[in-house]
Amino acid sequence: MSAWRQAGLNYINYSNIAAKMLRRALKPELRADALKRDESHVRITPWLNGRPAHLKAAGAK
Amino acid sequence: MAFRGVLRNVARRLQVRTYAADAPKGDEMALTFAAGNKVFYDKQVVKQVDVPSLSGAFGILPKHVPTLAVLRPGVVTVIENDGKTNKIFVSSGTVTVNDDSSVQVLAEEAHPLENLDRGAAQESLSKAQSELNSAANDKAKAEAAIAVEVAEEILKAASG
Amino acid sequence: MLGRAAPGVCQVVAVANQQQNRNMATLKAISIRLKSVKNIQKITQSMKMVSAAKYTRAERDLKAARPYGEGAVQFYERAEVAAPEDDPKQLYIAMTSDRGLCGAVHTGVSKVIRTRLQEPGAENIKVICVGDKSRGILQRLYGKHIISVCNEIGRLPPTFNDACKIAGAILTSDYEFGSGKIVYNKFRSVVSYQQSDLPLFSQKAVENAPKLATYDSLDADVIQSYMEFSLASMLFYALKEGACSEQSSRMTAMDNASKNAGEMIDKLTLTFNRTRQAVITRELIEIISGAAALD
Repeated sequence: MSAWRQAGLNYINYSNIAAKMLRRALKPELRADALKRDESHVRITPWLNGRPAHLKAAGAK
Repeated sequence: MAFRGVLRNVARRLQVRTYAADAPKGDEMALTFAAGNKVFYDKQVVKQVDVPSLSGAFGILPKHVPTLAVLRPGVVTVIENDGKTNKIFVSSGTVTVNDDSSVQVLAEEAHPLENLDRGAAQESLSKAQSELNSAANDKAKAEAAIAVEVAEEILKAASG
Repeated sequence: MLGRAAPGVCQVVAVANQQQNRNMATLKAISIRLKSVKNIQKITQSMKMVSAAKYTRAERDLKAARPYGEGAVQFYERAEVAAPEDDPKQLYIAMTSDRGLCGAVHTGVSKVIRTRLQEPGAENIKVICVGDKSRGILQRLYGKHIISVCNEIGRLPPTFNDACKIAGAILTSDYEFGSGKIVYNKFRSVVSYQQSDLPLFSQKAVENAPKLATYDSLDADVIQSYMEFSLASMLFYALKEGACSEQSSRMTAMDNASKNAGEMIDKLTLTFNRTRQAVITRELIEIISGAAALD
């Protein structure tokens, strides 16, 4: 088993780091455009029993 | 009007013919090589593909036994049918060789070697190395180790 | 927006016809209505322009993502991976976005999942809603099936990192499914898209695939990494298809809305002029009959 998987990473994490490094090593004129692909805006909320999980946790307090 | 119609018909037939010539035959290998940033080959017939995988680099020729592999950062070499070689640096991704001799190389990020910048690679390598030295926990250490590995490969490819 | 405005307009027209004696008031009402419809048309027209520009980009992106998506599913088809019979747990991923006013793209995807949830065996199905729209549609009746909601989708073109984040959320959620589907809108042309799906499998299902034995040098580690990445690839592809369908559909929807507004403006202008004419006639009659009375 590879070291990164033992440390709790998966191949997607591995791939993200590798892609990020590659984008930073591009020629300057290509880099600006490539760095846009670093961005991600998605927000993920786990749900439980029909409502967001964190709301339920807050309600329990 | 009628004349134009005839022309169009001929054009359509010609197009069909070229498509048919490109389609893979029994002992040919169709390569699809796409990355998040660009499509390099789309079902194009090629002679040979060399890929770096996590379980070792290997070459794929037509009629290769079906297999799956995950890429490690490195250079994918494609030898096209006319003998032209194309070297492309890939960050990571998957390789699939199917039983119909079709090959899919899907990378997250891929760039031709000439787009790499040696200076920038050197810089990101030293940054990654210092991050590796200052990593506080296992996860950060593993992340930095991957970054160092990638940077070293990029540097090697950019210098070569 | 326009649908809501329409009944009001009809009422105004009806009122104008019935109560000729109160023309002054309706004249004002019609001109207000006319102005608001004109404003709405301006808005829908500019929204159409914006989505046309976004659509051009989305279509270009999609062209690059298509070989990617096709490549990702090739293996599952070729190796004849099938859903395990002993594991009924399924995961459905609804690929929509946060933004509305784009025809039926979001309802289409949600409907596919809703139909599935009405069938027997629904208790084994969990849903991940990508985009607030599918969440909004499914949450009231099927909220208990939702295990994750992803939002902030649709404002900007999707990136591979977006897909990775969603894939990461699926991998780290403790829900262990045997198989599943990514339900998305597949773009066909500017005027058409179709609900389509991509298969999801557990690692066990892949390892039990009948033709996997023909594949060389595989170990569990490779399969695991391979599947992680191919999940991200498929999500990336589905996001791109969805984005393209959405923009094209919004373009059509806004175009139709502008056309409808145009028709409405024509009708209102006609009524407005007619009413104005009636007012003038009435005033003339009043003046003339007043003068006649003095003689």
